[in-house]
Amino acid sequence: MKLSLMDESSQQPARLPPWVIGLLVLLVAAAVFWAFYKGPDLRQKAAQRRLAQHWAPAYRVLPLLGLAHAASVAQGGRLPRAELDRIWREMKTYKGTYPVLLWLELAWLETRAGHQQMARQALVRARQADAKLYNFWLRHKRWDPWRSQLGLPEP
Amino acid sequence: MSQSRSKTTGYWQPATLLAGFSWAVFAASRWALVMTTQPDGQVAVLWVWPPWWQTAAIGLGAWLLQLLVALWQRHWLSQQALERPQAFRRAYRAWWPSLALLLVPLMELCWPLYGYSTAPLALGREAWPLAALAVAGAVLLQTRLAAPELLRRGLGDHRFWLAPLVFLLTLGVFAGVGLRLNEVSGQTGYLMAGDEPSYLLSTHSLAVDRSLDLMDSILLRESSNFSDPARLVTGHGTWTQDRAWASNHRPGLPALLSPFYAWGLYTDLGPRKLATILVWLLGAWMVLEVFWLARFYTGREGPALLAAAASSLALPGLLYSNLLFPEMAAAAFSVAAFRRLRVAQPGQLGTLLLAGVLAAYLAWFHERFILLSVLLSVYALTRGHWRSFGGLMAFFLPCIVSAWLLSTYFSHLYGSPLPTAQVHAQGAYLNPRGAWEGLSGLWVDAGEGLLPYGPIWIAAVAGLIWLLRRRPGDGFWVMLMAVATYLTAGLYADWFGGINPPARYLVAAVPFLALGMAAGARWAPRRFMLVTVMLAVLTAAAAALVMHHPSAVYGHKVVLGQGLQFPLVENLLPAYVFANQQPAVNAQLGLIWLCLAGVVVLALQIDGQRFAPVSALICLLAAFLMVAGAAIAADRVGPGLTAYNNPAHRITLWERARIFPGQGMSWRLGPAGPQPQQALLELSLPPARYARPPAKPVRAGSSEVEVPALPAPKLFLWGQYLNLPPGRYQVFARLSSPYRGPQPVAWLDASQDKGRQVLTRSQVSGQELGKPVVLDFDLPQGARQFEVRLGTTGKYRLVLHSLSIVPQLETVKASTP
Repeated sequence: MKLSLMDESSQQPARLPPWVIGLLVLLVAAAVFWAFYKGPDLRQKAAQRRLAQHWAPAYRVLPLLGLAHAASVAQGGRLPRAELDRIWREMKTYKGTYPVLLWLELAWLETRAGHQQMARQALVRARQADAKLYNFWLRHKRWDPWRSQLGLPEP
Repeated sequence: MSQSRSKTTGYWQPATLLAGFSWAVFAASRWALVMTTQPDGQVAVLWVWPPWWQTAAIGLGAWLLQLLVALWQRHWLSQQALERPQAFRRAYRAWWPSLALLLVPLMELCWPLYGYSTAPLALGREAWPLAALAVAGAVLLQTRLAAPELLRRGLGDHRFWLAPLVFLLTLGVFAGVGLRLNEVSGQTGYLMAGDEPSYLLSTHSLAVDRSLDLMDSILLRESSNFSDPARLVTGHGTWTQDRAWASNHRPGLPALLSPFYAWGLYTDLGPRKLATILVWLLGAWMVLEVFWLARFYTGREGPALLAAAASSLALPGLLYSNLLFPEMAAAAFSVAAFRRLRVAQPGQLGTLLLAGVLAAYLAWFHERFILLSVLLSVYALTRGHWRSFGGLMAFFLPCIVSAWLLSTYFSHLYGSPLPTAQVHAQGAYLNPRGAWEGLSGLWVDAGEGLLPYGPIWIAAVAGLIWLLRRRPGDGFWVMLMAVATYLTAGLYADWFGGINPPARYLVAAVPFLALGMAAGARWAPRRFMLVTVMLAVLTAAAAALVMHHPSAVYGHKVVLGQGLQFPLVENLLPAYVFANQQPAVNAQLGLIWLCLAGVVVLALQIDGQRFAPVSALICLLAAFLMVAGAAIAADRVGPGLTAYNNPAHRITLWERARIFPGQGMSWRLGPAGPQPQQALLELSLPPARYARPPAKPVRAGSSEVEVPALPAPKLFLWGQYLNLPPGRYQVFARLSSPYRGPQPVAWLDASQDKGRQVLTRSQVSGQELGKPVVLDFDLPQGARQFEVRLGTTGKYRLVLHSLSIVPQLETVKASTP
C-alpha cells in the first residue's frame, strides 16, 4: 500500500489572480463583519425595536433592562432615576418566568448607579423569588466590588 | 433449424410466462388485508380479501403489463448488435429473476413453517415495493448486460461550470430545508433543543458583549432573541477559575456564527435565521469539496455527482444543514483540509497554510475533533510535505499556535490544559454501559442510528472498500478519517449526541463516507448501482417523512415506528435510548442487523459484470431469505413484532382496514383460540404507562393506578399522542372508588393536538363506576396527537383499572367469521 507517494495526476482548479481573490475576500469579510463591528450597539438597537413593536407584553421589562444595561455600560453606571423607577414598576407587576434573574440585574444597575439602598431591596426581592438561583448567581465576579457594601456572601 | 428458431423466438417462452405469473400473483396478493395477533402467545392470522373480481383484475393487469414490457424489451434487444435469435433468447432469460417474487406470498402463507414468527409476513405487507423494485432492477440489469457492448463507462471530462452548479444547487436545497423547518417551527420554535440554544447564547454574548462570559446575557434573558422568552437558557455553563460563567461548549462555532447573528440582530430578520445561513454555506462548501475530491479520485463526474448528492440529500446532512451544531462545520473543515493536503505539492505555501488553519480550527469546535487534526497532521507528513521547511511550517505553525491557545483556554476554564471528564453529561467520556451500545447504536438504533434514516450509507461503506482496493493510499486515509470519527463518537457515553436528530456525531464522517459512493459507482460491480437505487429510494422516503414531521426526530423517539406508523421498525431494531427494551436484547438486535449490513457490504465486493439471469435469481432469493431470516431472529430476540402493546402495529392495521375495505372471502390461519378481530379492534392504553403523579401503580408491575383523595381537582393521566386514522371511536375506562354516590368523582376527555382541541368530555359520578365508562367521538381527518385524559375531582380515592380505545371499523366487523 502506497501511503506517502505524491500522485502526479493531482490537479489544481482554475484560479483567479491572487490580488483579485484577496480583494474579494476583504470585501466579503468587511460586509460580513460590519454588523459584528456594531456589537455593543446591538443590544440597544434590539431593545428599542422591541419596545416600539410592543413585543411580548408579559416580558416587556426585558427590553427596558436591556436598554438600561447598555446605558449603564456606556455612561459608567449613571442612569436617570426615572428610568430605574420605571423598571421597578414593571418588575412589581412582572408575571413571567425566573424573576430572580431580572431582580439581580436591577440590583446591579442600582449598585452601579450608586443607589445601594435600592440595590439591597432588589436583592431581597431576588432572594424571595428563588433563593437557590440567587445564591448560585451571586458567585459571579461581577459582584466582587460591592460584596462588603451590599452584605453579599463570599463565594 | 426453423423449429429451433421458433422455440427461441416465440412469445410464449416459459421464462416470460413464469415471470408474468409471478408478477400477477405478487401484485394480486398485495391488496389483501392481513391481521395478526398474539394475545396468549398463540399467533393467529386473518386474511381478508377484496372481491374476487378485483383480485383477478389486479393480477391480470400486472401480467398484461409484464407482457407489454417483455415485447418492448425483445424489440429493443433485437436492435442492438446481437444476432436476432441470440437477442431474443437473452431477452426472455433476463426475466428469470422475476421468479423471486413468488417467494414473497409463499413466505407470507407458510409462516407456521418458521415457528409462527410473523416477521416475514409483515415484511411482505410493508416492504413489498422494495422487493418489486429489486426484481425489476435485476431484470433491467440483466437486459443491459445481455448487450455487453452497451456497457460503457462515462468519459473523464471536467466541465468547469459543474462545481459552481453543485454548490448553488446544494445551497438551494439547504435553503429549502430551512424554509420548511421555519414553516414548521417558527423563529423560536420547539425544534431547537439540546445544545443548540447554548451555542446560540455564546454566539449572542460574543456578538454583543465580545465576551465568553454569559452572565449579562443570562440575567437580561437575552436568549429571548432566538427562543421562547419564558425559557431559561444558561449555556450549559461552568464557573471559570476567575468565577465567570462560560459555556462548556467550545467557542469555535459561536465565533463563526457571531457575524451572521449580529446581522440578524441588526436587521431584525431573526438572528437564528441569519446564523443558519452560515451553516448552509458551510454545508454547501462541504458538498463542493466532496465533489472535487470524488472527481479527483475517480476521474469521472458521474460518480462525483452521486457522492455530492448523497452528502447533501441524505440524512443526517440534509437536516444538519440547518441546525446550529458544530458538526457541519467540522465536516466542511476536515474534508477541505484533507483535500488540500492531497492535492498540494511540497512547498505550496498558500494551500498548505489554509489546510493548516482549517485543521487547527477543528479542535475549537470540540475536543473530539482533535483526533482529526492529529490525523491530518500525520497525513501532511505522509504526503511528503516535510520535504519543504516552508510548507511544513505553513501547515504546522497554525496547528501549534492553536494547540497552545486551546490549552490556555482550557486552563482558564477548568484549571487544566484539557477538559476533565466532569464536563461530559454523564461524568465520563467512555460509555459505562459498554462500547457495543454506541458502536452498534450509531448504525442501527431505531431512533438514533444512521441507517434507519439513511440506509444508502451501507452502499457508501461498500464503496469505501472499493476505494481501498483501487487506490490503496487514498482509500486508507479516507477510511481512517471516517473510522476515527465513528470510533470517537461510538465510544462516547452520549453517542447519540443528546437531544438532537440522528446521527449527530456521524455528520463529520459524511464527506468521507460519501467518497465511498463515488468509488462504488466507479469500480464496484453493476449490482452496486441496483442496491444504491433501492437504498436511495428508502433514504429519500425517510428524508421526506422527516421533513414532513421534523419535530419527531427530537426526544429519542422511535420516529419511523411511532411518528410515521411504520411498524416494521418498532420492536425489530434496537432502541437503546428509547429504553423500552433490555440492554442485552438491544445488543443482540444490533448484532443481527449489523451482520446483515456486513453481508450486503461483502456482496458488493464480489465482482461480476456478466449476463447471468439464473445467478441473479439465486442472489435475489438469497437476499430475500436473509432479510426475512434477520427479521425472524429479531422478532424472536426482541419483544416481538406482534407484541400486544405495540400501538404502531395496531394503528397501521386500522388504517389499512379503513383504506382497503375487504369484502371478499376471508381465511383464518393458526390456532382456534385467539380472535384477531377482537384483539386488533382494541388498543390498550395501560394506565401505569401514561399516569402522572400523584397517581401511582396499585402495586409494583401493575398496569392499574390509584389516585388518593386530594385537596383539589387534578389531572392524572394524559400524553398518549397517537396519530390515528379518521373515523368513529369509543374509549373505554374502567374506574372504581369507595364512593358510590351521585357526586362527580372523575372526568375524562378525548382531545387532539396535545390537548388544544377537546373532541368530547364526560363527567363520571360515583354511581357510574360499576360498569366501563364509554366515550364516543368522531376523529376528524388530519387529527394529530390524539390523547385521552383523565382527572379526579380529588374528593375520593380512585383506581383506574384499564383504559382502551376501539375503532368502529364496519369492514372488519362484517368479515368476522
